[in-house]
Amino acid sequence: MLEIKNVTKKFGDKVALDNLSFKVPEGSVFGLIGSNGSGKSTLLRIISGVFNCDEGCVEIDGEVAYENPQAKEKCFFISDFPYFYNSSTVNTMADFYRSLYTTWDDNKFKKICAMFPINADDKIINMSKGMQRQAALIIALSVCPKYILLDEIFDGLDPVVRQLIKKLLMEMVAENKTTVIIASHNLRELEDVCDHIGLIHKGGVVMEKDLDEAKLGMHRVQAVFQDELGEGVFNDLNIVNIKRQGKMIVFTARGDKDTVENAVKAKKPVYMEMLPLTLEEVFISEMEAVGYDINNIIK
Amino acid sequence: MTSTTSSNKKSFSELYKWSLKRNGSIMLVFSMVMVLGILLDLYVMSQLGEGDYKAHSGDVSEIGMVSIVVAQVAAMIFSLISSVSTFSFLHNKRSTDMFGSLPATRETMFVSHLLGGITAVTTPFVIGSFVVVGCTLRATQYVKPDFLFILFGVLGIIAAYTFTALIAYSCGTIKDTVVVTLGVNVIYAGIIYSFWGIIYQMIPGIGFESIMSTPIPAIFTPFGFCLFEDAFYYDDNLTGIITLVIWSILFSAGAFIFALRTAKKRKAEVAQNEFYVKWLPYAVKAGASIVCGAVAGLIATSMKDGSGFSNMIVFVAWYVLVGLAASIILHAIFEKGIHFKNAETKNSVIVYSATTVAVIGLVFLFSTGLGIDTYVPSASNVKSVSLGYIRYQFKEPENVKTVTEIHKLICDGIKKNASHPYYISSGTNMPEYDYQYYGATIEIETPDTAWGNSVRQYKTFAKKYPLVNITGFSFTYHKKVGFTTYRTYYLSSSSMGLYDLDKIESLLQKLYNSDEYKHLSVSPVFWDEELRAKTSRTQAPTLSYRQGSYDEYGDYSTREIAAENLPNTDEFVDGLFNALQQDILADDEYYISMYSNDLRYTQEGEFMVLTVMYEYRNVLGYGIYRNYFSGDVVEFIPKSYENTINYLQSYGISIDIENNSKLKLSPTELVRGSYSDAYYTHFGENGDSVSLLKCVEIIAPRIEYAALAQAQKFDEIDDWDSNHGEEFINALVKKADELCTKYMSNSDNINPTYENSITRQNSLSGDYFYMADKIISDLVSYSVELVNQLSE
Repeated sequence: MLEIKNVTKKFGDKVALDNLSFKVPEGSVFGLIGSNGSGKSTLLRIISGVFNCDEGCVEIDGEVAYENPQAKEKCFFISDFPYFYNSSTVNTMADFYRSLYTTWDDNKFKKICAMFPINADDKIINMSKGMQRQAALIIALSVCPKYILLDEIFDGLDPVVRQLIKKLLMEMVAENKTTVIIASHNLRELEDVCDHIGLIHKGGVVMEKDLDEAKLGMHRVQAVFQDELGEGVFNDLNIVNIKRQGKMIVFTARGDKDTVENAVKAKKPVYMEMLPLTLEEVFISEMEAVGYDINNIIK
Repeated sequence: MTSTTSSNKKSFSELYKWSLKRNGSIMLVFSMVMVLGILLDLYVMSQLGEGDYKAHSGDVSEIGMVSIVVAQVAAMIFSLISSVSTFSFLHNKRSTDMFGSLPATRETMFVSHLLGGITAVTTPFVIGSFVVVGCTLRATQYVKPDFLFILFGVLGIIAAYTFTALIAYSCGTIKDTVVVTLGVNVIYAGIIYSFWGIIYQMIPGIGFESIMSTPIPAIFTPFGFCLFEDAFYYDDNLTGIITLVIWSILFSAGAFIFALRTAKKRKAEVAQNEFYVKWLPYAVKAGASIVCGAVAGLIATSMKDGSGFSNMIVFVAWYVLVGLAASIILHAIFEKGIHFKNAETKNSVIVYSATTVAVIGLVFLFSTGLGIDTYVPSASNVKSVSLGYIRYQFKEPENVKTVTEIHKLICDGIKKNASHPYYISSGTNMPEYDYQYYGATIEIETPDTAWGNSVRQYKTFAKKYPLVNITGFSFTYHKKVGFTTYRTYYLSSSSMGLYDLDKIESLLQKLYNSDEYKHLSVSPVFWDEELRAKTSRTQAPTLSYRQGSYDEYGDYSTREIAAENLPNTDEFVDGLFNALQQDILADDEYYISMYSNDLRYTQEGEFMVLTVMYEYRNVLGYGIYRNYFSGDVVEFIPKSYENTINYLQSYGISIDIENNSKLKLSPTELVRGSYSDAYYTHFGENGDSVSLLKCVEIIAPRIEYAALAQAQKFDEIDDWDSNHGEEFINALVKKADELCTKYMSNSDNINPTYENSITRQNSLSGDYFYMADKIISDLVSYSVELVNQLSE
């Protein structure tokens, strides 16, 4: 179990994380989402021991992670721009990590290497950004950590490799009960792999729940009415956002599906459809709810 | 806990190995540089003949000079490169993420990288240095191995590496690390050397000399290690070396402890792109502005010979401008540009202004403001005082008073030009001095039957002392309360008119003629050519002498005089050496001044040369030192050298001149020795010419001394000198003039090449020694007559 307990992190006067608390269940794939500068990467760095928090702590299996080699050995962090020694190859980096992590699995390394379109003897510095990310992931998976922390891992990867990575991560979770935390803006990809999501905004947790629960707790309705309805017609519902186009109304609302559906039906729509909500829409909706000015940004 | 510890140990050893691997390219390049140096040395050695090796009779550092210098400089450069590179993971966001997340503590990360890097730089240095030693030892048997430079090199690498690591942990970028590391080294050395003159003068009891005689200047500036190499050998004995090693270890340990503490506390996220130690950039900027400003100001004032006020204006103007420029440049580097409204710029302006006002204020205060330059201690508060660069301390109250009077006369001269900011100009024109050695060397030469060459063995010890080329005065007062006050005054030729030189000369003569001075001094003193002391002498036992004469080529050939009962054993040499060393080292009050003596004898067909060489120095710091051209005639051993005297007397080779019973001095030889001293030591080496008459005038006191000894009137020397000394010298010079006329009228006596140009005032060179020798021989004969004549 990975537990973030009242973590506060400041950079000078700027509060990056403000009394953040949540738990990441063991064996879960946890998607960490949030606006730019919300503190996702900072949180990953705190979990992995790169940064220390100003207040609170991160516990890995009940142990404080910072400056604790034993706890840190259970984690592997791939930052948004992974680092490799100059002139190193995947093989030499494997030697390096093999010497530092007792959990290193050589067979796995060979197996994964064969799966990726990478020559393990090529210099990593000459590889493309996407290839370097693949190299980092090969290393990370071969370390067989209990917790794997990935920052924007899908960036720069082609669709085939993205699928491969997702597959490998799922296998690790299934086989080893590995806990994966992925910070990403690529919500489409996260949606495929994550079973939990945490939404961070301005250093605080906006939402942290099971992905299905997050999706189920929010509904999007598109309906056409005989006549134009007045303002505040759905005030009884917990509306996240609403758009009107003549007689057509599209809105997102929180709450029980039946309640929302019944409320719309009560207005006798000519046409009504409950639309499936993507993670991206959940994200946008939630962010709008906390005052993230989507409309202004899009304009 | 056990698991954590073992995990840490594993991480440490693995990170150490990887740190070493990362430095592989640096090791390779450093090794190549070392090999290049060694190859150059081997080439130099292959070009040297056996005689050259003998000439390089010192240690391995003299033979393997190229590679050792290369090794030391390269060690410092590669320490900087390797250290900056090794700790770059602190400054790069990507690598910080990677290293920060590894299963190791920050201390483990620091120590493993530090040791890995140090090993990487030290290994090629040590291996290369041993190869140098091996090559030179193989190349010549005359070289003794000196492993000290390897020890000091390793210490230097450790100090430099650890210091750079500390700076790396204090900075936010690689660029800042490099700038600050170099800056701190340059600033440290710069501040010491820019202001040493002022510090030397302004704080009684803290002399720069005492700072420089310790390894502090060198060891606190790791990358200046090579530049201050002398400081590492500042005291050629075990105590000095141990002191140096301790200082070095303390410095490295201090840097290590601070770096470790910083490593633990440093916030990785804060230190990316900005300084972790916030005051560091301000300190570097302030230091750079002080050093650059002061150096520019001192150079500017030294280039003009204006009034005091204008000198001060020039100094301040240059200080402000150059100091400001240095500060701005560093500010732009640290802040990546100049942003007028940010806090760093405002703080920098405040720091610059404060340091500038403080430094200019201090310079003003200690130049003229407090009048320290003209402060003369009261004679009654002074325990002892030395004049010039000698260490002999006048203790007699009368002599102390005389020195303070000389000091006052100097100050009176300064006051005549009262607005002159004395220290600003004097700081750039300190009295010149150079270092020479005093000590003892015992040299044994025995035939090497296998090769037909002689083999020399040396036993030597030496201490450095400054030899002054008088362009000013320095006073060292040891106060009764325990403080020491130093004062140094530069007397430029243009300002000589300000000083009452006649009075100074008469006071100096009073000192020279004092019993306290006579007791120890030997030869007359030269202070320019005008301020000549009348006479001085010592009562001392004679060791031995050798005889010889100039041949027709002006060369000096010798006839060996065997000393009876002198055993040809190492035991004797060791005993003499130990006795001499004991006496010289025990003599902590003054330096003796005398020159070397060869004692040659033959014993059962085996030839052996024993050289006992030691050196006296006179009051104004002139060393009389000679070990070539003419045979050394006589040695004086101070009475206080009881160990040496007793030792020699136990072998029957020491003669007490006061008893005079076994005096075997040849007056001619005695004088000739002085004559060549005068010519070679004081004139010839500077390439200046000197007239024969001037030489005679200079050596007249010796002739007088020799004549008195010859006339059996040595015991009356003090009275005789005060009654007849001046008359004797005048008569002698007059006689020399006559002899010049006589000999120069006969072309047989001079080299025809110079026939037309020679006059009695003409310069002397080697070709004229033949003639000069005749004149001096005649003069010596005449001097005995003169003594008898005047005595009547």
